Amino acid sequence: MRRGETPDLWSRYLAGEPLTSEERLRLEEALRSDRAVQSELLEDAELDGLLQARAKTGSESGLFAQAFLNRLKAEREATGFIKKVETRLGEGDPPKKPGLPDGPRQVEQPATPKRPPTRRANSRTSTPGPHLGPLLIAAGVLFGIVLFFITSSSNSSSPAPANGGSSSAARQKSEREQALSAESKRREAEARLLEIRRKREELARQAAQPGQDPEEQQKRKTEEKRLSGDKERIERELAEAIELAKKLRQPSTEGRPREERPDEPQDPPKEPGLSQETAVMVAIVERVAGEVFIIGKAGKTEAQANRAISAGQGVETGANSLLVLKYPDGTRLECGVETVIREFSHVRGKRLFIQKGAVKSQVAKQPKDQPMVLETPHGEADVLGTTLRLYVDPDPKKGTKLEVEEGKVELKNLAAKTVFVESGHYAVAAVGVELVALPLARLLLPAPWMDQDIGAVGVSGSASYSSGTFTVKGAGADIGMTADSFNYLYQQLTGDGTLIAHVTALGNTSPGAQAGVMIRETLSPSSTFADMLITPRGVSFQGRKQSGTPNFNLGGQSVTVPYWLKIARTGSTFVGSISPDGKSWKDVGTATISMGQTAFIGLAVVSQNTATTTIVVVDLVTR
Amino acid sequence: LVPHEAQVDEGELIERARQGSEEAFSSLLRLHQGRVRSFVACHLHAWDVVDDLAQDVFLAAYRDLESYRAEGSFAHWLLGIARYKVLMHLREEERRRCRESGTLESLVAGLRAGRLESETVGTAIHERKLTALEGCLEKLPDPSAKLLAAYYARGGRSEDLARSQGKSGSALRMTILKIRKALRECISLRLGDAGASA
Repeated sequence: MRRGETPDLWSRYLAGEPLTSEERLRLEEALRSDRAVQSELLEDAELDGLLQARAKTGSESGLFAQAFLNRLKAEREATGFIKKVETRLGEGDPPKKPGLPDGPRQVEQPATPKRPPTRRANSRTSTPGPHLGPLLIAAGVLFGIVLFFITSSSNSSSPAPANGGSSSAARQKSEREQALSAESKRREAEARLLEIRRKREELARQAAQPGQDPEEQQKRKTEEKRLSGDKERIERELAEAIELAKKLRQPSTEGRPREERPDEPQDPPKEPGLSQETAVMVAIVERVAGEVFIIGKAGKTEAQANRAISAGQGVETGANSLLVLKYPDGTRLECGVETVIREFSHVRGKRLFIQKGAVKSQVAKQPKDQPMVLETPHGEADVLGTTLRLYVDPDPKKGTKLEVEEGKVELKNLAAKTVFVESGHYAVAAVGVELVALPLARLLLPAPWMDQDIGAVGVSGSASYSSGTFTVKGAGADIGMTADSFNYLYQQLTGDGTLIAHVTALGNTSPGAQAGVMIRETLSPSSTFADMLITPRGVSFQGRKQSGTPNFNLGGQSVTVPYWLKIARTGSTFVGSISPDGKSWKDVGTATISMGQTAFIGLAVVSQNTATTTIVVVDLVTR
Repeated sequence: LVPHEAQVDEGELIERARQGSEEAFSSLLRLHQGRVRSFVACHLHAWDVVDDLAQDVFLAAYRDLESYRAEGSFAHWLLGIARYKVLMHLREEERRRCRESGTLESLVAGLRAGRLESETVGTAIHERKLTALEGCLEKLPDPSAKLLAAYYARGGRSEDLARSQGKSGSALRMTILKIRKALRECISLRLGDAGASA
């Protein structure tokens, strides 16, 4: 770099003036190669910010306060409407629960994902609100056009043709400047779209809070008008930027058609959402079960074993699914059902964003200054090497629960508080929850047992294990009719199998509180199943022969806990039996149910009271 | 940047805000908006993002007021939220710009996040830095002070100011850069003195 050039480049960069590609590279080099220069320039940037703030905050402090109050008011006004919409969405689409391999689920999954208003999280969500879908698509189209232009512009900046002369160079310079302008406009539009999305997410978050103003009709109109106005305005700006990009494309290709450049290589096929700059492998898929997708900017593709996950991509698991990822250093991630991870990256250490669901992570030893960072909407966990579980609920009040099996993990919440969570402890990062590390009241479930709520249970259930005994808590309305809601301690069953439970205690939350052994095809509420249950009134053998249809119920004799229950599968034949001593068995019912080879077997617990859980203590034996 | 707070019973305002008084929270916002906005601006580049993020900070504080513990300073609590939000933004910016081939912006965002994560530019030093800055601005020669004020009053846009000064844009930017350098040296000296006398 020429002597004295860095301050000039820096002052131009800081003032927002365009730099050429070469100048940008030289400034980058100066920042990377010389720590003294780096420190000086960053200090200068900080002072520049302070001076800007000094000028602004003096003259605009009243405006800032007023803008804040307006925002607060607008969000409150819209809360009722959003809440109503979400309630309706929730009625049409019962919430599902994420589950986790080898561990219990602690957090409830509402029907509509909501996240706190972190700007960082804003650009991660791929499910825009109903008003924003077209806008984001338009932004994507524009982004593609601008990228195409920039590519063209970049090509045109290679050595000029012999007959190009100085006019060609001037044209290229002009194009580059206009490209920067187009890019700037695109960035502004994108930022505004993100801002709208963020505001909507905040509204959704507010809607989840009780005590909202009931004047919904008026508020609905207000909100719709505001969103509509925003949409129209940004679309106009996008259209202008698209027009500009189109104009810019013409001179780049004019007289030099793309097909007349034989040296230009064909674009290689790209993974979804992957640019050439970000095509850096982060991890590979070690194991897949059920519906699992790799998410990129261009959409989803089905995940397959040995497929690479690249920087910038994400993954998504469906109901009844499992995904295991492995990093080159041996770090493993096990993603439970209904889990969404976005933005795998490896810039300075491993980093990923868990939007929702449950993830068990066995982290190999990381460099001291480059911990693996597991971000969630509620905070982040910095890991240097340990085994941990994270349960992430989009509801900010339920937040992120971290359980540490081995080692020590630093958990940070949105209020920037941190806590070190050691082996055998847990902490919750959530709104209104104090960030403290507490000892796990029970030992973690032994493999291969897992636990999760099925259907809309009301209060989250859980399972724990100690000295051969499982203690399971479950809420939920019932097991039966066309869909179930209960807590399920389960493991995968391939082919035939038998489970015996010695139920030694059953909380009497209602006469219909139930616990029992169950085999079900999937973890969705409407799945086919067969179970052998005990209630305070007696036992029953029941099941569902077709997904989403009403259950059958074969009542049994009136017995009380402690008692032994057994469910057995042989092909399509399911038999429920009971025993007072675990030796002498009596069949209560037999049913023929068509079920896939791969199913789930475990203990079902339901309180028949969505406001509270019932506690069941059992010894389980599988055969 | 930082208003006089002696005449305001902040504890009472917090208590009233906790009970749902928007007016009380507005007063808290007016008290602290300067330090929060300046903190955010200190670590970010784009001013339009600064105010949005500063509003996010107050929104988070408004919603989470219950978690504030009186044993700590309210200002420090706010700056803690601000620090986290700025860090989140910078890390996101770092990733987003990297994806968009904006490697310079990505690099700068990453470096700024790294500095913020270190203690050297943490929340505790921010108040002292603001005080030092005010003192150093008073010591600036009058022409420099006026030029700096005019430059920042225009939001850092230098073309028309350069014309009115009979300078090129480049020359004006370099002059401003030199003034900032002098201010940094002054602030550093003052912070060092304060540290020595503390």
